[in-house]
Amino acid sequence: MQDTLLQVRNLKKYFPVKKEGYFQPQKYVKAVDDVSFDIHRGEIVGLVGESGSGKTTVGKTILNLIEATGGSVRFEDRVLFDVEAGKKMKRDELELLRQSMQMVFQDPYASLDPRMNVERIITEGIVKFRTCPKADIHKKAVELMAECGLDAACLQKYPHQFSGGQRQRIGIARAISLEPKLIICDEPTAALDVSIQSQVLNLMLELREKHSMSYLFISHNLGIVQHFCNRVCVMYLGSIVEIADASQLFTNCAHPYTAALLEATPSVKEPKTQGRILLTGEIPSPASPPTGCKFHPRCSKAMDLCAKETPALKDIGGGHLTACHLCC
Amino acid sequence: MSNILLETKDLRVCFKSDASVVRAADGVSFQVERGKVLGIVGESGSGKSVTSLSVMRLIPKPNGYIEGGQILFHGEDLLRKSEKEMRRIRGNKIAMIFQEPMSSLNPVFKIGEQLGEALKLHQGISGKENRRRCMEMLELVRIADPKKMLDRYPHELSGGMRQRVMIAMAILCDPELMIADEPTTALDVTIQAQILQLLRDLQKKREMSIMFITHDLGVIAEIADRVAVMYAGRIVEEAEVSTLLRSPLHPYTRGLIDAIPENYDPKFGFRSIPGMQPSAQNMPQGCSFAPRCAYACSECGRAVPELVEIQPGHTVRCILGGKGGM
Repeated sequence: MQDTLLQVRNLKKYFPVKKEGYFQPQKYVKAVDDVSFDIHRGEIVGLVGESGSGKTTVGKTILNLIEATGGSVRFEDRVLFDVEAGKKMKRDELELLRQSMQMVFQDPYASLDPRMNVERIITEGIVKFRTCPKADIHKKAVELMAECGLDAACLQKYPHQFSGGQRQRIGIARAISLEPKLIICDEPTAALDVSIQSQVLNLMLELREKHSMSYLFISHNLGIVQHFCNRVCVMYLGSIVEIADASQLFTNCAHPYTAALLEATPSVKEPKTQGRILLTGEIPSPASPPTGCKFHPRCSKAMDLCAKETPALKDIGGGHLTACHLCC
Repeated sequence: MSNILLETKDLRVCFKSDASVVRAADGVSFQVERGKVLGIVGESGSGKSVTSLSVMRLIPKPNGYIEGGQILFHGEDLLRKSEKEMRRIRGNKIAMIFQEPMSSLNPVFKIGEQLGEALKLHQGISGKENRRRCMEMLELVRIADPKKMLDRYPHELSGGMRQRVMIAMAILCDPELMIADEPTTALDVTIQAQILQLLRDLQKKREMSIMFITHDLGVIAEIADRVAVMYAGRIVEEAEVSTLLRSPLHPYTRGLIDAIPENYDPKFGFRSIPGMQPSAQNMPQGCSFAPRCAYACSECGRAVPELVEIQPGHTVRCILGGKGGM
């Protein structure tokens, strides 16, 4: 049995929408609707989906950066929150736990404070939690820089003096400074050029090996997810439609939406401009999602049942889960 | 009749800053054939957008200026045209679509008003006929309810819809050349695939030429006929798209192809090109890729290599004459 690090159960996040009139009922955007998954120790789990599918909201809700509407999150043996049971971790306790759960953001330009030099940025957590004696902080900063492939001579520089790839390395150095067990990476390479992207990915793999961390890797790039992650969750309109091992998902996906995503990804190996089955239409608004299976209006295989009943996420063998009426 | 619609010769574009002058495009020469798609691929800062903007003569003034070279459209040098003549070409003979469709549409005008503007200006068509033509275009770019669309504002549309409107606007005057600057970068893969197919169909149907700028070789593989790879302001390799992807000759192109996650090889992990692109202020002597190149020798630092034709239609800027790609 694998050791579960993070357990997410029935996570929900509804954002209220401005009412159309005073007597109109309150409507909600269901950004995350009933999402459950586990992350095992040392595992990299990918979370993929189009923009608006709720993947970033999942990441932020897990860290309690935004408050969940429903569901529960457990980290190791501690409950971060369980909305239904009315449990919530105390503020100071949560703060301590933050040491073990860190985040790397998408935009390396917006996520670093322009008024802090690099040394302050990467040692901020160490100073706050006093994880090492004051005299050793500088030494620790030098170590972190070396680990992330940055020149220690740059410690006194400011974020604007670095390129995008270097900034993302600073963001990673900051995240690993407290030796976390889990890092939530929200599209860490989306803003980088291809040749730089691989450098950052390799660094992340290397660091995971060294510190035995787990990653929740949020991305829309299926090419990276295929080779970077152990397991992959596919999200559509706030719900997970498929979870499978990366190798399984890319060779033998079960959900029509996953198939459509794979089909749409441009390829240098087999360009397929002609004769490609394209998904028609666009992702519907999460304020008024379709009834039944949320994907049915765009699905080529939709049946009558799909519009009526929401399919549950079911195991179709070997830990491969999918939410589709056709598969079960 | 010559088959070449657009040709740039030794185009050099500079930007002035407080202390220095930076050359963003340095001796860029390429040709766009009639009815063909030329892809220009490169990383950020390689000068691909600057090149496309200079064809439209839209380099931001007064800091940017075209230092030299020629841009021949139908054999006539666009750099010698007056601003008035240029305005007659822009949006009429040469149209452009941009990466961010929101910032290219005016938020305070309805789609119908913005769309018809070019038609009124260039061809003097207004009123009902204008509206009819706009609707026809929206239908052509596969917008479901074109009549309703005309009365909407840009903020009411999704990213994919806005890009469709931009494309409709671009083809309204039946241009001979369309410049597309990263038109699908801000879109999701499923929408990107729809837009690429749409562009391909329109290009075939109307025998339009497209200059397609992107950083994504996967997109290039799907849409382009020929492709030019840019690095640090220069074209380093140019070939037919299948040739380039199958047997790249420049070490940079090779590195770029290897770095695509699709070409992941468990033996090497994610492959990258060490180092980063030099900034335009401190460009290295000689070949600008040499500091990152695994095949670099002392000779690379001496002079900028010439673009050499190795095989018919396949040129490369490397003194190894293609050995680096093997």
